[in-house]
Amino acid sequence: MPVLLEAPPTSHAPDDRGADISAETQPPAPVSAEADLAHLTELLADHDIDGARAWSQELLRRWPENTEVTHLAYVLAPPVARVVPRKYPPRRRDLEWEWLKEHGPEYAGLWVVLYEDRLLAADPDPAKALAEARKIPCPGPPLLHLAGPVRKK
Amino acid sequence: MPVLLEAPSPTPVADPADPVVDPATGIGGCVRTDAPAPPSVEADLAHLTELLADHDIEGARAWSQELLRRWPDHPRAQHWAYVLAPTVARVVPRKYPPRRRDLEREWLKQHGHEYAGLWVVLYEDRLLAADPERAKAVELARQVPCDGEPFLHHVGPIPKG
Amino acid sequence: MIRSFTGSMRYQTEVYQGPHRLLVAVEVLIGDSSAASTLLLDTGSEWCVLPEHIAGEAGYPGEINPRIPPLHSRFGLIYGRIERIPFRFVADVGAELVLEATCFVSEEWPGPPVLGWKGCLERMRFALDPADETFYFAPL
Repeated sequence: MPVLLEAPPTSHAPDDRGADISAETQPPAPVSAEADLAHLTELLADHDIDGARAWSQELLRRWPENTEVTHLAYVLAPPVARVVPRKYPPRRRDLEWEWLKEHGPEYAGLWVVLYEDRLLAADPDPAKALAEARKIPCPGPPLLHLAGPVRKK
Repeated sequence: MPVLLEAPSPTPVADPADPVVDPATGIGGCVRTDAPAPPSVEADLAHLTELLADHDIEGARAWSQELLRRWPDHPRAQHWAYVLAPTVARVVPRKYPPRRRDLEREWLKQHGHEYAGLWVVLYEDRLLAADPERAKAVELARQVPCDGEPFLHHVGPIPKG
Repeated sequence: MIRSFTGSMRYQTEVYQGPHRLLVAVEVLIGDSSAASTLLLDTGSEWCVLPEHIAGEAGYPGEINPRIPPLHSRFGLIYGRIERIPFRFVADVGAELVLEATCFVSEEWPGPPVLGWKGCLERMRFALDPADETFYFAPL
């Protein structure tokens, strides 16, 4: 489905527009990368994400060497979900959540790192908690969680 | 899992061995031993409001059942117990032929901007009614026969994209 | 009506992440992070939103990008940047799923990490079954 681009007023548009841009609208002429990037900001501010995606691809065509353009086209492109080979053994985190229910309130406000029912580290600084936890070998990734108040349920 | 009920006044109201569990909904549980007795339905309802304000929905559900037990004839107790009870999804016989609303969506994309700020009633690619007032639009649309359920939509400001 | 999924994991309901109550939360391994994080599943959120420390830990440190408009949130206007960060859904059952999610990252974000719509949930098949609190997922 073509994405309509709302273009800022310009004198003329290029004839060789990208395939994903509707012929019904006139994208801004390639005056400068700065102006084109400003238009991308406008589209994002308008929550027109599909428009911003299409425009970022047009930007890439116009300004392929501009690092800001390549970055924004990359981060805005729709992702593709892939099934990947299993890296960790299958495991539910019931023990971690049980631990949090029982002991979470004692650590309220701290970042805790848990593996099964073991507390690997706790610290107000999540980076410190993780650094501490990394010293303890685990067969899979532990859970990082900011402990909170008692769960009423 | 039993749900602890916190009652607002000082007299014990129930034996902990006598759990208040609604057989229909399964909600409820044991009442705290030091749970105080409510002086009035108003106080009990106020406590329900507190539970809701605390986002303690499970507690509010259990408490609304307790309210119903205490004040079975009170309309507000009945209302709260009814509206808060966990819902049950049911499969029902089909009322209308199966149909996606693609035509209505397409119509809105094509023509929506012409009706910004209005309530529109659509059936497939037909505009049945349009009016700034929701009730008027619905009333106008009722006069137009159609094979299924029409689609009511408020056309907001048109996105630029 | 039958839809197939490649993996599933248990989700959590009404858990607290610090002061924030997450109605539905799932665990995601973000980028190169050594630990899984708990994210609020929010189909109403435009983007995935990550606090700076999580993006940094995941291998994506950075600064506010003035090109990116601020996020309008219940915490007010939040300035940040957009990154593309691999999210790994570690399945309890079935296969793991990876997706490079577009994330709004901000030092100013005081809320929980959010699994949002654009650049993430919109590009994967998913379903929630409250009967056993299971989050099912698959590629599109």
